[in-house]
Amino acid sequence: MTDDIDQTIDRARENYQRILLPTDGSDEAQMAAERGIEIAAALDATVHAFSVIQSSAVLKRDQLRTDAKADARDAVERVETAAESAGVEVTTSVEKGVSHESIVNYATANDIDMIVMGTHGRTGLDHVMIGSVAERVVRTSPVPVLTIRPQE
Amino acid sequence: MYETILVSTDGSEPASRATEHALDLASTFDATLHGIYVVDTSRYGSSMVADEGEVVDDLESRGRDLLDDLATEADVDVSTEIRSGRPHREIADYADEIDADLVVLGNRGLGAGPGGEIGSTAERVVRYLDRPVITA
Repeated sequence: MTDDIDQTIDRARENYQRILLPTDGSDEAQMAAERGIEIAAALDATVHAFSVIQSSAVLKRDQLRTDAKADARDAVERVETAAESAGVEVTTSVEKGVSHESIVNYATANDIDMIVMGTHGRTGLDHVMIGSVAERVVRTSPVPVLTIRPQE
Repeated sequence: MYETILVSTDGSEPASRATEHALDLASTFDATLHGIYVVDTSRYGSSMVADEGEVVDDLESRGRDLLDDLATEADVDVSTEIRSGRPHREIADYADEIDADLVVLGNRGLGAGPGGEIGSTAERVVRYLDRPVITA
């Protein structure tokens, strides 16, 4: 019995070596990322903090471009700090693009085993709208996606 | 962190993938694993009035087989549950009853549309449950 469990845990560790934590810098995303870091710590996995610089913002003007890029960097650094203090190996990356597409492309390109991300709150229209980034990722991801809803 | 994990199965290929993940995670976190199979009466029930009972019996026995397999494969404690109704509601209700820390299900189960889009059950579960959900 104990041996079986050890074998299963070994298998789990092999199956989840790289966990992707997409973040837009929001508290919801950070909270989800921190849950992802806890899981990574249990599985001895590496986390990839990733933020997308929105194409729409990039197109507007230089000021926005700078801000969007700085925001994305801040977002991944916040996750990086949390991972480091949990003793979890972390890499960071920011890319321009469309959120859900960039996230799924990153997962494929980097051999990601699981994506952990927050969904928007349950307030107002969010509850009935299909359009959240998380739902699009769930729809198109080639790997398991853990969605975490912010606690109210 | 994850003491109670619920996995939903319908016998589809993504559901068995989800089961693998649930087994891995349950062992890693030393969690109790609950398996649920929902006889989707909104799908099979009303349109098959004549032999509804027989269809439901067949599905229940299929569900029991799937859950027995899950219990055999697991090296943690497994509780199993068979319900009838609308899958996302039954999964949500049962997750509340056992206070699941994590719900795992296949992303393209038997409720999936012809375009290969995410299964409607998975989509609804992600949207309506307040609990963490893994779609595999």
